[in-house]
Amino acid sequence: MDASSKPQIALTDEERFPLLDDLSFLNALKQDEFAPKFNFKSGDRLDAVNLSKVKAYKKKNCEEKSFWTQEQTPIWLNEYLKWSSETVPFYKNKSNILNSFPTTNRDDIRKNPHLFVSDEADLYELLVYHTSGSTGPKLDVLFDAVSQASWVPQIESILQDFNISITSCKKTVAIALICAQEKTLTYASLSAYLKGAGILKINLNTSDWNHPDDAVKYLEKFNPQILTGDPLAFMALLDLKPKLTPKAMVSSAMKLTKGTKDTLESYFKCPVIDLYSLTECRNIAYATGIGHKVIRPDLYLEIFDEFDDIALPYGERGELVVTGGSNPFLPLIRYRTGDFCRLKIENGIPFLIDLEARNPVVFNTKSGIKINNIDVSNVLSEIPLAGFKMHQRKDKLIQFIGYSNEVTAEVIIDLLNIIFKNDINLDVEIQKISQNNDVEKTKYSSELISFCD
Amino acid sequence: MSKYDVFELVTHVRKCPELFFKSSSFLVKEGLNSIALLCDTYRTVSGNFLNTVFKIPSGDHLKAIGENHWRAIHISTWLLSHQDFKNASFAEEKLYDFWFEELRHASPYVKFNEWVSDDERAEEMVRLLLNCCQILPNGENPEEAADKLSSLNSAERHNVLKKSYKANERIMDIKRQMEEKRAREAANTYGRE
Repeated sequence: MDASSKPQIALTDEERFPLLDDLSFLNALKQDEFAPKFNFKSGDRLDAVNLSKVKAYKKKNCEEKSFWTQEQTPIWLNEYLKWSSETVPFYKNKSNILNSFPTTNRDDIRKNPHLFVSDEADLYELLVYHTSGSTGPKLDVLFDAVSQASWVPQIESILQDFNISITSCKKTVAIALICAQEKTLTYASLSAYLKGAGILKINLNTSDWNHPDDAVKYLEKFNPQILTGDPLAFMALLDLKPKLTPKAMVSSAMKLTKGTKDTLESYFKCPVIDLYSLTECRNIAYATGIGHKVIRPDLYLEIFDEFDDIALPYGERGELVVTGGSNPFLPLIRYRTGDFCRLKIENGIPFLIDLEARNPVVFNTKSGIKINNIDVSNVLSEIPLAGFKMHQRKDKLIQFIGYSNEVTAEVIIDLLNIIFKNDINLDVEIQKISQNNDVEKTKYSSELISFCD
Repeated sequence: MSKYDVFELVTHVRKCPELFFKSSSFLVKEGLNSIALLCDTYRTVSGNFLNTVFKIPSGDHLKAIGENHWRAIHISTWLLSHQDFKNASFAEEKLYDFWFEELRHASPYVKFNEWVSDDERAEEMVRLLLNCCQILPNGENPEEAADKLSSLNSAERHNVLKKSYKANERIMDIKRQMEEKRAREAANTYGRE
């Protein structure tokens, strides 16, 4: 978010935490001798009604998960389509048959976010998140406190698979969102859903702290149960060698390579979970050995042809399309995620196989042999790169920028030469990860017009 | 000439004498005797000139009828004086609904003289009457007749506009709220997306 559009502090603590009377732990987090120079304030905004809605969401969608099958769409789908066509202007007057709905995309939401708001949504509850647009043009995402707070039970349902639970009580930091950026909003907060436990959003950038080693001291003192962030932020944290014992680390927003995951798990001695999520509908799935395991029974997932509105059969690779969700300000029907995978149902649970962000790109060797970006991802995922950009110019030269404090350009050159059968010109650069990074997500691009078939 | 030809009936309405534009004696002393006019129309339509029992609203309801509505009723009795409605006894029992329901719904949106001076409103009155009496206009099938009435129906049009106005108001409200809330703190963010 740029300075001109930065949101302003505008609430009282009573509005931030309608259900929490005792804010002493919040004050302790803010006034600690090692605390960062927090530049913002935030609350979960949950009143009694909203908290009961989050708990109801957990009971319905996170405790006993019942997904759709290959033969049968989810039981909630017809009612959801009927409700959408009756109350959401963007979908009005359409039938309640899924196949009558065309796909929608990010551009539809970007141009007309107001048309996605259900007539039943109470505008008093409206919250707006303005995305920076790291994967496309800037976007206003509309949501409410309930759909935002439902992030926590969604993550709890993943942690269950690892026999991990978040301890819900005062005097403990439950979740710390770690950033390593030039500038971002930072705050200490609490969660009524987690019975007053602390929530932190901090930036490792030394300019955010009074002393360079305060970040480590602060984190070690409060030792958050769950660390969230992207691979770059986690590698920046690792570089500080903090003595932390998180129960789990949840990585999202960028692809987590196997090498980075192994490095982090080896140091922090906890599972590092590679989460697939979208701003438009929050968490969707997390990476496992056989693909990304879907965690949301309130989302119906389909695979579509990249260019035409044609649903593809199970097992075929195409664009992931989402229907459903719990946000009355942004109900999704056949929303194109821009990400590509195959869909497979294993023991009643859907898995996203070979999930790759954005358009699949095909690269060419000098002699014209086609190389799929998935093959590049598979090989590079074995080394501890926090992220990378790879671009092929018209003259077929591959330009590669990687982010790592360990991997050298020579390693990358060797691996790319293997992938490209020693038939490619390479320009490889490795940039160190700092505590104030300003880089894009992992990205493939090519000036040679040649996409996957 | 074919019976129930819309063009013919509209032409008839357009020739309505100004006498029928007068208010009702319920409202002004020198107004038309509305009850006498309705009873005469019942007799003409039924073809039973000895009849003395007619379906007329009770006194309180009659007093509640507004001036514009009464004048629309008076004009409609001129329409019903057309030869197509003479001895059309099947229509007799429908007249009550036409006068006291259909014209009541339309009156708030149509000034009485427009029923005569405006081609579209004259056609609306003709089609409202034919529809109410379950008479198909000459040369039209039920779908065509329904479509044409729907496109002219003042009350329906008003409802559509009202709905569209409400939808527009809602959108303006959302946009206003978005501007306001975008500039303010929202709620905790727990992870990156």
